[in-house]
Amino acid sequence: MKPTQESVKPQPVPLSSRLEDNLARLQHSEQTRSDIVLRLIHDSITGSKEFALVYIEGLVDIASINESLVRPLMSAMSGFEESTEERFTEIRNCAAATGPSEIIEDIDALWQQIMQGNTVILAEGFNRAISAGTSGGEYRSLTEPTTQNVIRGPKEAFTENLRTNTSLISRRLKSPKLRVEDKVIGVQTQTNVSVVYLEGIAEASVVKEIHKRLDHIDIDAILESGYIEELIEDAALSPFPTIFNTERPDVATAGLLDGRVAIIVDGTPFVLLAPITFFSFFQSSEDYYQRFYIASFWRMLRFGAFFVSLLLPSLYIAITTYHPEMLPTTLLISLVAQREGVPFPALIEAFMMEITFEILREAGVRMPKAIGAAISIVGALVLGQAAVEAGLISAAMVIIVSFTAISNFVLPSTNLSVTVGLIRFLLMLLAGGLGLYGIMVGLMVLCIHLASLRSFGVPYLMPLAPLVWKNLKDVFIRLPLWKMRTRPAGVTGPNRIREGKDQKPAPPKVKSRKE
Amino acid sequence: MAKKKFIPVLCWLCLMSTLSGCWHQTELTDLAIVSASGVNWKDKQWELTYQLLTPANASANASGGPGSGPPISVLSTQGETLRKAFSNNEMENTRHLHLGNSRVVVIGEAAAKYGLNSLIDAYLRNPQARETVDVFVSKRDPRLLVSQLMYLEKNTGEGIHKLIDKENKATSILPKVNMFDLANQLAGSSKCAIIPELMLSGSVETGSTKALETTISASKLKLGGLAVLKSGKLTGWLNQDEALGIAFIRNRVKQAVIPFSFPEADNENRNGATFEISANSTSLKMRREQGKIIVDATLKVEGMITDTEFKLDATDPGHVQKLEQIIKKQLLDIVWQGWNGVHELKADVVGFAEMFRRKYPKEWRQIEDQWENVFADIEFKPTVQITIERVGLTNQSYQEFVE
Amino acid sequence: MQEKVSAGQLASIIILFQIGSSSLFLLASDAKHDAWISVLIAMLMGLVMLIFVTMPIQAKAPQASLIEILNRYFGKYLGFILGLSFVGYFIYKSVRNVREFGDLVILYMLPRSSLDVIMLVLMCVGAYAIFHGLEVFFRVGQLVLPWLLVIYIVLFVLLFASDLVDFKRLLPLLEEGWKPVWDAAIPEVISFPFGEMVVFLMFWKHLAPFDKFKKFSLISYTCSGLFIVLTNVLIITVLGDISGAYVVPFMFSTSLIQIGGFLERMDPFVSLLLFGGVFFKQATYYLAAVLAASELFKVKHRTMVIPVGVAIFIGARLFRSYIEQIRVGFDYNLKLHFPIFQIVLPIILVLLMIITHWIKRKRKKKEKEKEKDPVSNPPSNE
Repeated sequence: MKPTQESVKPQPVPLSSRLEDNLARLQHSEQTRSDIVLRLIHDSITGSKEFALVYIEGLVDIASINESLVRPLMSAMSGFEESTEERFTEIRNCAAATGPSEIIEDIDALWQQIMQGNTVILAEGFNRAISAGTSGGEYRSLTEPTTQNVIRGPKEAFTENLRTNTSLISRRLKSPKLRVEDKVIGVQTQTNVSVVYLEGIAEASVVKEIHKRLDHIDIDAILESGYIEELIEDAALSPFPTIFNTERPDVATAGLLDGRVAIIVDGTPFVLLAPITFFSFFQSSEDYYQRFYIASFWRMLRFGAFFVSLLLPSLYIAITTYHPEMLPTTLLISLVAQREGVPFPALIEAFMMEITFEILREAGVRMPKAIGAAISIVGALVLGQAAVEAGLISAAMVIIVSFTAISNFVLPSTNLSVTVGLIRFLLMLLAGGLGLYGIMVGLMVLCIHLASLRSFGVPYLMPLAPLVWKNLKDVFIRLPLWKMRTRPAGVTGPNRIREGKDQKPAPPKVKSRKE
Repeated sequence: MAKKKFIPVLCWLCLMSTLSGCWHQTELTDLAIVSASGVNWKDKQWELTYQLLTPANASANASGGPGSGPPISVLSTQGETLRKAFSNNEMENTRHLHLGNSRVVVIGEAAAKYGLNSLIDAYLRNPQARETVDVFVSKRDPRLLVSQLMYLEKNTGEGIHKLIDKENKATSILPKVNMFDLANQLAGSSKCAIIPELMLSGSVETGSTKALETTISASKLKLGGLAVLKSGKLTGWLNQDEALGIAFIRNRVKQAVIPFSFPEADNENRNGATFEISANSTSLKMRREQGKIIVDATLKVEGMITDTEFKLDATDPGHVQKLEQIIKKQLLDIVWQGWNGVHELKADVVGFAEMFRRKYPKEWRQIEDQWENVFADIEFKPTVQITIERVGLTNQSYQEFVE
Repeated sequence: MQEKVSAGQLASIIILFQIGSSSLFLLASDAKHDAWISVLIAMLMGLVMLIFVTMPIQAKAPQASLIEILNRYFGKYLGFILGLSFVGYFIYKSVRNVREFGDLVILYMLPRSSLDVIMLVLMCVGAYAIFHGLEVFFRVGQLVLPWLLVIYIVLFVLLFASDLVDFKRLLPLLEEGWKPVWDAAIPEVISFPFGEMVVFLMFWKHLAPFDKFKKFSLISYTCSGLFIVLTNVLIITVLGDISGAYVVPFMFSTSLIQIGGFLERMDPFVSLLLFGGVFFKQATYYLAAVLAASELFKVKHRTMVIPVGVAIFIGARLFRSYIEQIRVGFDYNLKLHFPIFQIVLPIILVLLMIITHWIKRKRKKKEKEKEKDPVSNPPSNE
């Protein structure tokens, strides 16, 4: 832990018992914040200020303030005199009508409450204030996920609202074991973060470790779950992600049922899941919604595509520049004929094309949708066809690069495919320098690196190294659901059994008719 | 922490080594792809001929369309040793000779007589050269053969390879011998080997694209008979009939076409017919009787009659039996021809030495050096069992209906 | 915290280590086509060594590494010297593997590259693995083993499919009697690869359920031994008597594969096997040397990674040529030097251990007897 004087957290300032003083403080800041609303309620007899309601416009549900807070307060006002404890309790009761209420004792807590969209009631004569849960306001409604699309499966995605997101999970998971633990992270942003897990199914030590790492975060802003990811992951220097993110509530729920812990951050639809293994990035939620033969086929296809997108350009470079005898003669001749006029060595050619493709991809992501179509025209026609016809690059290279690119998109998770892209460049360099030997060296280093990674104590290559036979049911192939009796070992806590014993469906046995 | 320093150092080293390696690569466009090579011995020097592929003309549809020149070009070099001759190509060739995709080696008669051991050694020693190249011997200068163009095949080396491959499957007269087989045969117990012959028919002319403008070319590559080698040197030739006989003894016949004449046919001038072998297995048994080595060969042949000039009624069992007798005789005759061929040359290319060694290892050591003479004394007793499985789609000859 | 490996990981490293590159070569090539019998004999002798010498050492001193055992039984100074010589032996073994690998890569894959670069890169990968420690290294072994086996099986199937295998080439059995077979087996093949299990005295103590070490070592040793015999048989059945002439006969036999006109030139896959095998073999010795050195000098293992690595690299450069390396290796090391570390020293050690344990037990018995009833038979102790 860093020493406290370096910390950005200020000291708390207590509330005054005079309403005037408190208002003065608030009004001072109101000058710079126009969205803060102060509503005063005067005593009809004395004309003195009795109550003040403070909230931020846009964060609150105005109708519920008017209906359920102001009106009861006004009617309750006259019933009591002076600043008695009864009066305070009466105000609390009024506040409870709209939602959870809390007692606030210092000005920072007051700010925190109104930032959350709550309304704070200040009353004359009390050095405490009461907050009423009135948060509401405008949010993006539930939409289809933009990443991790499926053909069959739920079509709703997480939104930017934390509570909507937790509700999406708890609607799917009505277990009393579901735990949602809140945290506020970010000194300036005061972002709400929820740690969600299933007690007994998630490993307790992992939950504890996640809490520990979250509590250790001391930063001014959390704007997206990526911030959290980068601050709590195990291998900070590795190009490989050790925390999974998803936009899909069904994926998050399935993760919870596997014993993983979800971290939901307010303001982003991307929910973090940990601990995970390398193979989580090859699983799509649809694998479990389609028949297991199809799902297994898809899995293998993805592993194949992974290796293609990792190795194809480097293999091309290595084979053509160091081991041309590996190619069948006909292929060799046509490759030579294509390359006859190309001015660059194979390595440079491959690099140019790969970088061109990465630029096209990046442009395609960032461009406004209206002109997105231009990218495909420029990319396909101008760069591809024209470059080949001009003799700048060979047609074979265009095929290699495009196949690599398409294979890259087969991976269901985008952050792994970006990593693969980076490593591809390194492997290309090694292949250019040392041929197939270079590629082997690169793969070996990759293996060692992956084997050295852990995600919250779980080895990254879990079911393979260390070998866990039971977990292999859901890696390269997906066994039918009735065969997956246990949750993944090593990730899950004490509750391991997923389903009853004989879940394999079969038609009832018909007694022979002769009897 | 040491780890933090360690990883960048490692990356740095890898990149450094990559850079240093970069100088050693060969771009595809720096390769002269050899598809076939010829080896000859001339004026006490090795002469190597390489058939080089011209990629733009040899590839099926390269960008820019096929060029107009010939798909191959030929390069010849000389030198005292094979590798010296090979390296002499650097004096006239702009590109690096790439032997990895070479398919065929044609050896001239002179070179074969001089001895092939150094050639085999060069092939086995050199990692780029393929040991799976098909080996041929030619009576003509291999330079002429290698410079021939072929119809339908742009790549002559590949074409010759296809030729022997197909021949081996369809008629089984000539064996497919690659460099490794040759090395293995010559290093085997008998030190003898056979290599198919590649010949050039018609008037000799070096390859020119003009030759391909006519539909009948003046010269053509063809497969011939068998060359027999003893201790790495050429000792004699066998014709195709003898070659087929040897193939029967070595149990290498998969399919073969046997013409025969049927003396009992009603018309003496028109008594030819063809028997096509569809399966054959030869089992050899070696035994010794009174100091003499006897080899019994049993051929089990299956096949069908595919054409006749005479009346044939396949439904008549007597008729079929007679036919079988005739074919049997014909086959025995072929086998004997083969046996006589190798017997005359005293060259054990049929693997009897290996058989003897495996069966009588103790005696083998005593006669190892004079196997040649022992081989000449071997008594060979072939028998044939034949089954005519089918007679084609018709049961009776067409001739019966015509009359 | 002591690093732990599972039984499966230990087994995979033993298999990888034993197979190493040895399945690619024709061991005991002096015995010609009977070489496989020599290999089988050597493997059985190695098994005997493992059961009666190497494993009992560990069993008698559980949870101790070779260095600790040497220290315990030979005393502080002699133990240190012997430990140091074992470090030297491990380093030298690694040196031989690195050098051999470098030369083979130059021969088969990169004929125009510099030997230094190839060996340096291999050393870097090894150092990177060792740096992460024993646990990660063993885990990598478990990850890589299935791939290697799959490639081997594919190559075997292809060899059979392209009709190259002829079991008649194994005949006649024992053509020249037992003598050449026996001579080829002892001591060369025992030294390489079957006597090399000594190195696992550095690793066995890390096994998580320690009592399983015997069972798993025996199983994996036997499997890998039989596998080596199998590859030797295959090499002979494909290449015949001339197989002894090739540097890497297995590579050569796979280069003969021709299936369907496009499945040819499988040699890069064999070099993949070569790379995998040699990498694990050299890295196992490297790791053993690093662990032993760090125990001897009482430092963290990470500080020894670079010094030992540099020593191996320099050592590998010292051989003048490939031919010299082979000559030194097969004529001197296998017959004279390696048996000291693989056979003589372990036997001395195990005898010493048996004697000391025997003395201790006797002493204890005496004490017990004295404690039990000092009255009933007080005088008779003769």
